[in-house]
Amino acid sequence: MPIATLRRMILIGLLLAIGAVLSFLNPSFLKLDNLMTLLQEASQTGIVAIGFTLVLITAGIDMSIGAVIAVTAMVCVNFLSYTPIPAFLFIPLSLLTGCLVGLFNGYFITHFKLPEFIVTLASRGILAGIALIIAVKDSDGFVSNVYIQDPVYLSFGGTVGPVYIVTIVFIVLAFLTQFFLKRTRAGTNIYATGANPAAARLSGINTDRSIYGVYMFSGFCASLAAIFISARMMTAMPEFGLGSEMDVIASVVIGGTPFTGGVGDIWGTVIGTLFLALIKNGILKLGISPYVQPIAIGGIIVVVVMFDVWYKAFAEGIAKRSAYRRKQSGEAAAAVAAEADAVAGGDGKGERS
Amino acid sequence: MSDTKTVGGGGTKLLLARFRLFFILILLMAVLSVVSPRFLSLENLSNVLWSVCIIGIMCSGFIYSPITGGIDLSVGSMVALAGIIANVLMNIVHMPMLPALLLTLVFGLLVGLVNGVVTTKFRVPPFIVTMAAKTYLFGIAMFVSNGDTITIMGPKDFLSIGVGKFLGLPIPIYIMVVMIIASHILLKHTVFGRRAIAVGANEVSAKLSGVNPDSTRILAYVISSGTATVAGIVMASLTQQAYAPNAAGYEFDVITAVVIGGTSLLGGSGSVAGALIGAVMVGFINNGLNLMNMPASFHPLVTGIVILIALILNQGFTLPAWMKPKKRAAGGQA
Repeated sequence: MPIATLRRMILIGLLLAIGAVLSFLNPSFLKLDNLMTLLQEASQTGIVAIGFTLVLITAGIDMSIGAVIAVTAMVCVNFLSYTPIPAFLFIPLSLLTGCLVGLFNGYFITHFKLPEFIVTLASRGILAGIALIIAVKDSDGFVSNVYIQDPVYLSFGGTVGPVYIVTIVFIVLAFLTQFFLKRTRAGTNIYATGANPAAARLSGINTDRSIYGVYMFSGFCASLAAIFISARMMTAMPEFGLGSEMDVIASVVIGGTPFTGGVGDIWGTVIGTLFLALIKNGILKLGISPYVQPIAIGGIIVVVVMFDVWYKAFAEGIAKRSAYRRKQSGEAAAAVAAEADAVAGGDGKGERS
Repeated sequence: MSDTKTVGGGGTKLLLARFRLFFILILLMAVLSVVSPRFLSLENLSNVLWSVCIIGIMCSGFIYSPITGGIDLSVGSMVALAGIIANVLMNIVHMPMLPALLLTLVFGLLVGLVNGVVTTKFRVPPFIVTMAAKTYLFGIAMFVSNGDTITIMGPKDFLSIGVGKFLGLPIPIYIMVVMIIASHILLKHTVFGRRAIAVGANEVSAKLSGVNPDSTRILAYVISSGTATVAGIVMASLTQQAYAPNAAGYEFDVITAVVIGGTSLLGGSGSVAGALIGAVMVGFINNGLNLMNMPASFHPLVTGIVILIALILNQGFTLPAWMKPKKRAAGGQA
């Protein structure tokens, strides 16, 4: 895949260039502390983005991830505040929240054949409401800020040496998912479902199962990210993660996974996540107004998508032209051969008649 | 043909089917007035009317993006940004009111143009383009207003758009009615409306019959953004303030209204009158939740559920086989 490789090389080059400019403008950028924080922020988005990439490969979209983060954080806080269940038991349980949401999304998408986009948008609204309803309230009924004190839970926000645990989990998850996508039958089925659902169904692939799978995985990843985010912040609010879907979409799109489905891998998403985190960090480090962040993210998405489409058309144009040329020269050769044949054939005919 | 000739029950059924939305609306009103006696008071109903006006104005243009098979998620941010820009032009640049509002409108139309061009010419899914637009418009709104709530002291004429009355009725109602009627005529009785429906129903056949799908879609997004700008101006003068996150969730309300009204999100069909009834219902539902002292958290929850139910009901034609056994059997016998 030379086009994808070239695109990735350009992206890595840009990544390094922006890093160089930033470290030139602000020396504190290159400090280990800042780099690790950057990686940690990138990993929080990246874990969600990995799940989102799978959804995008099936040509779907999941708008509910932000709300899943909020609900999972609220579920964890409820366990912490109202039950004596230890953290290592309730964390797997709260990871199920995301899977359940994925099941819900998958059911409406496959069973009622509704557009993925609108189903997940509706479940986003529902989940945002649920997050507020189940939030821990004080006696006046106002949402109270819970400070997480459980040491096991907080250890998820900790570090191993200088590296945050979330970064390690992100890298491991990226490797596993990439392996799953490229080396297992279920992974291949996901690509087939995205590339051409009708053809996939006709060749015996259970496309519904793939769709259920990717939405559940996407929800699971969002729940996983929620635990790391709340452990890092040492608190949880019902507005957690709402709106973060834009960052995730931006990361995946920058990474080069198209919306048409059937194409994409995790490495692109990893690079895209780093790229976005770098830009956000840069805006902060250069002291630019934080309100510029959404403008930059929205602008980047539009520009990258436009560039991708233009580049694809450009590459296809080149391929078409070269194919045409090959065909022309092939035709010329064929014409010569045909003439020779005709001469030979004519001779043959003449002999026969 | 035989359907129209049936007597008695058939006619009633047809009436029920055609005006089912209206009946559901009356049912909703009845339920709400039982649940909360305050619901039917004049004061409360006029409160509902304000919010219905904003959503109705937005719907009148927004409806064209789903009809052509797309969606415009940037309308909420556009509403907020329009108020902020109008305020900047009138109170900081000190332009006269009319040119300032026209300039705001031009900005809105330009945003729609960008959305449309990027969607059609670059073949990018519309919800991505408009989601990105929603994000950067919100960013611009925050940047321009510096994240503050701006109180619009504004020219008197501007404030009277929102609170003024004409023949005893508030002016926003006239604006909404005019825009809804104009939108209805545009959809049902003009070439553009026909083209929009054709493009949404089947792009290939529309193209083959000489319709340019790209320009039709671009115009749909321009109209959608334009009406959102008008709604933003009305809202700014109504509330006398401009604040970037003010209209953040409005796109969901508008989508809900349009979907309740029977517009297919897959494109190719839509009804402006239905969208208006949908807008009234959304207004009633939100108001009812407030009256029942439900916390604000129920709002997105209920909206999400209503969207899903309305979609499933609308999507009758793609329902799975087990849900329409009678039609299957009838077709088989014929």
